Amino acid sequence: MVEHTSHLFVISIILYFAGSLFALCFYGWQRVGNYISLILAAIASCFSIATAVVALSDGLTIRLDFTVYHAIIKYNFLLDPVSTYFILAISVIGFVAAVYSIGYTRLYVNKCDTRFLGFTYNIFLASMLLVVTANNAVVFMIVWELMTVVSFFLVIYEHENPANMKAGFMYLIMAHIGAVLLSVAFFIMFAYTGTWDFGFDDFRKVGSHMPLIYKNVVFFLVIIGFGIKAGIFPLHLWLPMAHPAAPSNVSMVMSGVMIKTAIYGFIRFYFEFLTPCPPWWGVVVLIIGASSALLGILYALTERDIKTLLAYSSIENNGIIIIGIGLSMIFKSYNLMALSSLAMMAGLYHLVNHAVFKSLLFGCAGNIYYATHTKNIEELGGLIKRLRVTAPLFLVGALAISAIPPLNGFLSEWLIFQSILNGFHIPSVIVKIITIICGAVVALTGALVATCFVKAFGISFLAMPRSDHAKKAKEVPVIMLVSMGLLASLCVFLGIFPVKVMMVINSVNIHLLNTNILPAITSYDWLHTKSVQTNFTEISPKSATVLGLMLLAVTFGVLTLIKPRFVKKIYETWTCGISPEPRLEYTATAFTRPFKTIFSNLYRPQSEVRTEYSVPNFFVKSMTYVSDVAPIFEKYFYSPVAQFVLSMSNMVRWVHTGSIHIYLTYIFITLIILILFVGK
Amino acid sequence: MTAEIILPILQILVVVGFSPLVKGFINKIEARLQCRRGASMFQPYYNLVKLFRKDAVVSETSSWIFRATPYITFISVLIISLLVPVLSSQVPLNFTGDIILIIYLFALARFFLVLTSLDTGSAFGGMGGSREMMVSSMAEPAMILSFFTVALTVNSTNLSNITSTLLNNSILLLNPSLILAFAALTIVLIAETGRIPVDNPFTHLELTMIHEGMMLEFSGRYLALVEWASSMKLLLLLTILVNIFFPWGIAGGLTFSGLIIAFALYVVKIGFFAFLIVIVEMSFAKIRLFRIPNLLGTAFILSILAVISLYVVR
Amino acid sequence: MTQQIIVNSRAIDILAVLMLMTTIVLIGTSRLRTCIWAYACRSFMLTLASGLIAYFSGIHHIYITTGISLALKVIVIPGFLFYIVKKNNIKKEVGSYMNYTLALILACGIILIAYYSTQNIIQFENIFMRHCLPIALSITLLGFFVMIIRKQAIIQIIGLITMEDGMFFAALSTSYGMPLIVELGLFFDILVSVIIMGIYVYRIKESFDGIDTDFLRDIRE
Repeated sequence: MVEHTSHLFVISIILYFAGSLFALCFYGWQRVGNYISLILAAIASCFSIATAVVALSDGLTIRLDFTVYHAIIKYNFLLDPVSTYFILAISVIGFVAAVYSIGYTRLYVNKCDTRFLGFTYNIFLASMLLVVTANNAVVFMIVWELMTVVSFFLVIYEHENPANMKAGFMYLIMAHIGAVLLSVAFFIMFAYTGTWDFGFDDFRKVGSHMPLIYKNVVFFLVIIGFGIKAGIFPLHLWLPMAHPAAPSNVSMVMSGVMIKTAIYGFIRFYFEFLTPCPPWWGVVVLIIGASSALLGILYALTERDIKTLLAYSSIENNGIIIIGIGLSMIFKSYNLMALSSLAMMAGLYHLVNHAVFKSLLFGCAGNIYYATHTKNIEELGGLIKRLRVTAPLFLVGALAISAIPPLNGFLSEWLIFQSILNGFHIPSVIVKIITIICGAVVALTGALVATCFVKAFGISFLAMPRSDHAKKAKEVPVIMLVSMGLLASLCVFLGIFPVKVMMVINSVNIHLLNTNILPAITSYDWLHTKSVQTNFTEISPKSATVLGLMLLAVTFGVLTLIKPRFVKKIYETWTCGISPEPRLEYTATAFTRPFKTIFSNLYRPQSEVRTEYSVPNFFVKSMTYVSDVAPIFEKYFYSPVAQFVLSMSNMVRWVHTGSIHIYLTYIFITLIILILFVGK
Repeated sequence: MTAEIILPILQILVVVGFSPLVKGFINKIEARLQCRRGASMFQPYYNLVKLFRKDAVVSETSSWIFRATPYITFISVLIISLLVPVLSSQVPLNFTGDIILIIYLFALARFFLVLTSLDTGSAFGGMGGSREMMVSSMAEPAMILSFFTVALTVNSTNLSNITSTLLNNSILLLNPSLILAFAALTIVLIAETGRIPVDNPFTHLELTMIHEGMMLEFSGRYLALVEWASSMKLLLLLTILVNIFFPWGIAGGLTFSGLIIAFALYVVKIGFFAFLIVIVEMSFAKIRLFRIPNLLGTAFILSILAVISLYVVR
Repeated sequence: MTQQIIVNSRAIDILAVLMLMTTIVLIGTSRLRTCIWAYACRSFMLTLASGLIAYFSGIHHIYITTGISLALKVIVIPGFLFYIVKKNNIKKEVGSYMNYTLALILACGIILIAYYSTQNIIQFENIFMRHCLPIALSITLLGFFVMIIRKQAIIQIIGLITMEDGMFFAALSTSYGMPLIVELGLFFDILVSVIIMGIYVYRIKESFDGIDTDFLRDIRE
């Protein structure tokens, strides 16, 4: 069994690379090359889905060791339940995105080289799979860098746009700062392994005998290193720039799963390498998660670019996942293993949920862009009548992300709340209080998410079109809709049948935390199917759905009995006597205006009204209203850092003379010093 | 088994049947206190009957969202009425969900109502929707934390369990933390149901309304369903408040006589609280829109103090 | 028997929480009259609490304190404050150096500190009336806080007597009150200070045509 599963995984990796090479083969036929590579990516994803399903259902742990003769680096890969869970998420989204891309890349035909998209896309997926399976620090860093570089190329795919280049550059710099910090963390831990392998298996033994001070250093290095990838505040700057810059099919994968590799890193480090952790680590992670969640959604709220809005919302959702991880760490450090598993389950459940609905939303944003060539929601409107299938799909995504029952977002939010409630088991009062305040933050965040997505859906899809782009929109190719339909049905499935997912996560928990809470958190409901329960209560989304449908049938029946012929007359909207116009509609800016006023300390809103008069100063010719929020993180966090780096660079500038001989001298001196150092 | 079928039906009938009366009662008392005669207590029923008989006018800019919303709103409130203990603390369907599900089902109804307000393309609707989202977002943390306080006191988030535990062990109710939670929840209830210091349910003046603004374009059956849902929401929130903090009189089991007594006491309790709402509405003016966060901030702080005092003193 | 004790101590706890709520009103409102009403309400709860404590503990001199407190704090001082407001035509809105939401959040932090710093005491010393000490401390601190953030002289009087209320309640709930003579002295002090402050408000009003304590900066050379 282990043999076959490992073969499946190797086949899928080979297929990915084959797909990327095929893309380059078809020199003249760009479209064919692109299609073949995407189809191969889809097939490869099916193979890795199969790997994950088989491995998770049997709880297998698979080792793949490629012994290269006399190699310094040991190419070890490990598919334990943690890895396979991430493989499942990555390959499901990878599959859907590949199918979606077949339609979406038509947008770039004759504009950009679509073969290149296929090439990088395949490597990107493969590198993510390798990141979550690497079992050696060196290999991990190599594939981590590969993932970063490949996704950088995807971000700057439309490199004619200078904004995209800037976004990509920012991404590259920040990702590399993160990578440097991670390597330092690995090196510090390596000093205590006592071997030269850099293997994760050695790191797993390091936690018990490493001095606490170094553990703390590693903790912070890791939280910043992976935090940059996860987009936690205030390290989020690249995320809302890079995700919108990338093509939508890539943003799906980046937002859906790539930023989750950081969560994978957190889990590996804090639950395997650095154990046992002191409680305050969990508290730090929890606070970081909560503040990212709140700030992420507050920035998403005022956003008018639909993809930037979704990117900010990814920060928010990552924050919620990190809340789950942080709670799990806290419970674990107090040795409350069952609760730790519950919180981990909440976090990992939200992880897969977010992957599904965020990919769905990015896909639908891609559909909007495909149909209207704009991402500004102020220019949209009325799309529900033009994109008849995209609209309900986007609505499902918006409902799911707003945690509306019975869709999947609700279940993970519910589990998060249950874990937070169980915080009363924590012995320390101050930690308890922080936990419950995080509960309040999650509640506020949930309400703000609903506002944000009501705005996103309502302004872009409802009422009248606000521009010609929106007026002329036509529905996108079927294949894009089918792939999005797949995700939408997944949203419904994951929401109504939670026990299936929880079984999968439970096998992760058994591996990671050595506790099996599945029997404790499932029960049978009146339909004699499994529902979820905790020590506080139980919940059965299935029965709620069934009740809702029954009540709908009854209501409809009664209403038809009362008045069999119900006539709907169609008139235009009453707007106090003038005929309705798009200019009269509420805009996205206006919709979130109350929030700008309430949270003015954060937003520092700046607005300006310019009025132009015609010749006699009585008639207004035109009025312009400009309003924006001040980027306080750029102003108070990034600018000082950038200033500091610039001034430091100025100080060492004299080293760069421009003469090649001087440079050779530097190298020579370094070499001599190294030889002396080693010889000693 | 029969009781398990009869009780949910009874519960739906009580909530659906009496919710317009609560609204009518509040209006009537308010009118009497303002030295007016006021409309009959049964006026909301007459309105509903009239509206159900009428055809509807639908805006040409609107889409299927507009036509689906009244049903979705109504159904989500109906599901809630199955989950809340009304007459008996033992709700047969209580395994379906807990207080968090109830809060999010209200969110479902609100989500669609606000979408509809944007659907017709009228600026009034958008204004109402935007403000509704603001008020509910500000109210959400206070609501969740106050319910958490209750849940932590009795170790359950299931309303049936909460009510029966508090009924059998009333000394738990003499808990200062619960008093704070009760105060916070009262403010939240007033905000959520759009009563006076926050929103004026009687006005149709465009610039001041919140909830009514979203319902401007509904007519006929649609308006009836939405109106009915909003009065059911008022009754349900009152019921939750009453049955958590004053559970006395609610039937513990499913006996006939118990249910009769429970019903009588339920009417008295709801009547009393409706009267309190009237008093609040009479003694305050509607506050400015941007003062609402202060009010709800107070509620939030009360709720957070509730949890903290529970944790520290426990 | 123990049931009875629990109910008694819970009743006083609840009164304490109500007192705390009226103190929060003091921070959350901008209306002067509401502030004075809130003060009167809190004094009434305090009187009620001290009456209950007297009844439960059977210590007679607390009855006397209760009676004086009822007369002074519930009737005389609020009445006097209303009289000053009416006589001087003080405007109804109280200015603040801080926006209300921030003030509320800080107030919440203050209460949290009070609870947190007394948790060791209440867990070991008092078995009953556990909310009283932290709440008494919070009321004292909140009174101070009100004096800091508000502009008008009259609300600073209220802040001062709020602090006194907190002290009084702390003494009452932890050690069943101070000796009678000390308490009488305290009441007298409060009365005198309120009257002095009242005169001072009147003088500020006369000299500067407004009662914001900001005007006092102008006296500085």
